[in-house]
Amino acid sequence: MDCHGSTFRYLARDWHITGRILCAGRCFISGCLVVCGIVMIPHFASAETGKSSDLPLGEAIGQVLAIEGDAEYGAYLATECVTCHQQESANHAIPVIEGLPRDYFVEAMLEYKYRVRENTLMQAVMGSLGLEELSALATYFSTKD
Amino acid sequence: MSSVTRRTFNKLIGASAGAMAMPGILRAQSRKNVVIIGGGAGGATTARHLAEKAGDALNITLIEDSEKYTTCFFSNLYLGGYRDFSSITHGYDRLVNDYGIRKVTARAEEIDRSAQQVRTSTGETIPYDRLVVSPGIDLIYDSVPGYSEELSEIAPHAWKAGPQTQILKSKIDALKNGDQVVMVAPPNPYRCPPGPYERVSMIAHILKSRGLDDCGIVVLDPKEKFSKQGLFSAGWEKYYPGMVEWYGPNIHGGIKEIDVEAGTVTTDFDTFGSALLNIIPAQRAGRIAVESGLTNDSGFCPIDAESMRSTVDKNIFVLGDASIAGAMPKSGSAANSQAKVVVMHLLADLTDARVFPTRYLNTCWSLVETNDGIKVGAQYANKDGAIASTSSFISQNDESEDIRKQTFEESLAWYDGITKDMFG
Ligand SMILES: Cc1cc2nc3c(=O)[nH]c(=O)nc-3n(C[C@H](O)[C@H](O)[C@H](O)COP(=O)(O)OP(=O)(O)OC[C@H]3O[C@@H](n4cnc5c(N)ncnc54)[C@H](O)[C@@H]3O)c2cc1C
Repeated sequence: MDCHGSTFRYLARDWHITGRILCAGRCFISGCLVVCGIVMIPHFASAETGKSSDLPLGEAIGQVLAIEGDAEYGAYLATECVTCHQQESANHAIPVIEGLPRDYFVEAMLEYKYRVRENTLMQAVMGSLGLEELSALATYFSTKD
Repeated sequence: MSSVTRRTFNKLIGASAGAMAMPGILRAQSRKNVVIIGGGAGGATTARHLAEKAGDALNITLIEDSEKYTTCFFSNLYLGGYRDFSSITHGYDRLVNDYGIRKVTARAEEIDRSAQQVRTSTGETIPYDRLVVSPGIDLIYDSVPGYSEELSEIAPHAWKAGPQTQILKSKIDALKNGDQVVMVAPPNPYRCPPGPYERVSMIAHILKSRGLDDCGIVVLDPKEKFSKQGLFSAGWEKYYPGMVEWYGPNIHGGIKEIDVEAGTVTTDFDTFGSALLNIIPAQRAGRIAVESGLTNDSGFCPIDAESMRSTVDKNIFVLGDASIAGAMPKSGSAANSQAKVVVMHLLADLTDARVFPTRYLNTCWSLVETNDGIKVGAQYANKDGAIASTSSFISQNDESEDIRKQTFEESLAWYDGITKDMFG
């Protein structure tokens, strides 16, 4: 745990309640303050959110990671992302995503899809992305540096 | 394929004595030619991404009238004093030097579709295997009675960025307390649906920050409603109370006549006087698209929703403002996204690259007042032969100041990103 005034998030899962314990914390030199709460994960069934999205989040993460990502497909899909997510970011508002580890990438993107991670733009982008496509993207970005 | 590899390849060709005698012939025979008309959001993005992916497999020629491109996006922020003009103006040097693209600074005068070649204003004839047409819009000046291209020096439209934007800026900066600004907004379809209303916000911001509280801005709109209306209206009420009046056609009854010299706009309802007129007329696809028979009765170009290929000519792709892209708005963001689809299909046509299901994205950010950004956007796909929205988002009226500031900061990073994506 980084205790130098940075914000961190600790994630724990409970598949049975298909909810998620989210802990947000801030650390100072004197110690850390952590606040936790359970977030119920909405299940989407609409066409907008891709085919397998009525799965609980945790299972969706597992499923995407189990799909072998088609890096060539990922390279095409990534052309959409890189308009904003360049190799160097102008400011903190749009992060660099090239080189993100595959499992981190998948988890973060699915959190947008399931609307547990905030940013309406990213929620919409992920809302229409299928699991196979996400796997392809994750594979592509994880191999870039 | 990186630009470095391409440069290295060119150097190798240059250094090899054996190849010296006939590299031109070799290259002409083995490489297919892609010609792109228009070096804006659609054309520049296509050129750069195609060069990056195709490497030396294709000859890429970009025909663009201007030496430099001033983006319409963020031109309103220039009007509002948030950007200087040079920060929204970009050159083609990196596309030429790092990506090996041939830039022809000339007008494409004629497309000979049967001979597959383009004739330029400098008298050159450039053959193509595939042609990409992204000429943006032309303004239909006489759609506003009394307006003309000549009169746009006095009553600027500033709907093509460049000198027009600078004229409008100097007129805004010359306003005195008590002056009124009248904007005639465009009818649908036009480039950048939220653009006129962001512009109103930026003019109001300047007036307010200069203490010209007795100035007013009147918008005479041929449309009943407009993009992000609830968000803009709330913003005007909050930051510029009493300064902005917006009238739709059911109030003003129609724009009958403008008198640019007198600065008046006559409607069924009233005659509005002004110290500054901003007239944004109706629009159609850039002339080259119209004259080449690529448009239909709407004045824009029908395309195949999966590929942006012209439905009139299979060797031609049309994208950006000139195209009829279903539910997608005419925006730089949309043109940039369409370019990625065009590149995939160019590569599939001319090399052995794979084709994947098409996705499109659009996001339009607007600034209402310092650190108060709003956004609207959607993801799109080909649904039964038409580009249709698959998911969407829009800023909310009850959002926190933090979110609005974050949205504004996103727009800064987006601008930086898209201009790098276009020009390298
Ligand atoms: C005030 C304003 C604000 C805007 N803000 C935003 C925004 O915030 N976000 C956003 O996404 N979009 C915005 N837009 C819209 C955006 O600018 C356009 O939708 C976008 O530029 C369209 O790209 P394009 O490639 O179709 O045309 P353009 O970018 O206009 O490029 C066309 C190019 O082709 C050249 N050309 C035309 N004909 C020929 C010819 N015959 N020969 C050679 N060259 C030719 C022109 O010189 C031009 O450079 C805004 C527009 C305006 C007016």
